[in-house]
Amino acid sequence: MAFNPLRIDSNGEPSPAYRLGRPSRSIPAYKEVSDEALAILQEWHDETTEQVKAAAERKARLEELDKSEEAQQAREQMRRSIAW
Amino acid sequence: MTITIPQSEIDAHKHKFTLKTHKVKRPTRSDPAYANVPDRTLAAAQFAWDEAKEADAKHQAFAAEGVVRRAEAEAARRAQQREQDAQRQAAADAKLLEPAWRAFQSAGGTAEAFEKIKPQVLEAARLKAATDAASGAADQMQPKPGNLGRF
Repeated sequence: MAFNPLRIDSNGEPSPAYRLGRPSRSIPAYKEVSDEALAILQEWHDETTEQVKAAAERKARLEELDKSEEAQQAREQMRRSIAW
Repeated sequence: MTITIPQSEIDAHKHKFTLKTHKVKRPTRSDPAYANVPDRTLAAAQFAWDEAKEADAKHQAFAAEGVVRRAEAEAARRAQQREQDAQRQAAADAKLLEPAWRAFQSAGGTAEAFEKIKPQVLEAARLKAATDAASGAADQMQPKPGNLGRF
């Protein structure tokens, strides 16, 4: 698998070019690109979309966990131990 | 009346919007953070957002140029790979066809006639090669005196 330059970086953000949308000839930046390169760009975009979805799901799960009773108890315990 | 806001006042707001205009909305009075600020502050924040938006668009276009260059390079790499694969396949086919061509030629066949039947001959030759390979492998797996078979 070739390196995907649109992929999510260590900050959890895809390349700014990802925000242009799924590559197509109607997007000025991709107007002159060759057919095969356009297909590759679409492949990279779709792969990144999967990564973005997976990252959003992970974030939602973590936020859900953070609201749980156990997490609140752990935070309370930590707060007490620091106060002590 | 037009308010002229010094660039330094605009720059003071920039950190909130730089590379974030896709996530952070342009400041307005309906935004709670700007509901009660002086007109001048809101205007400075709006100028800062507009400038950040312009910079973001440039950044995006620049990133897209880089991504396009990489996609073209990848397309060239894949085309080269396909070419190499086709050459390898052609060489393997030529090797498979060689005995059939010699037999056809010695029976009085012409190169032109051979070209016409080549696809069928190639298919038969591939099938024969696959059958030979499979029967050879099966033969090696058979237990023989002195060994218990290969697997």
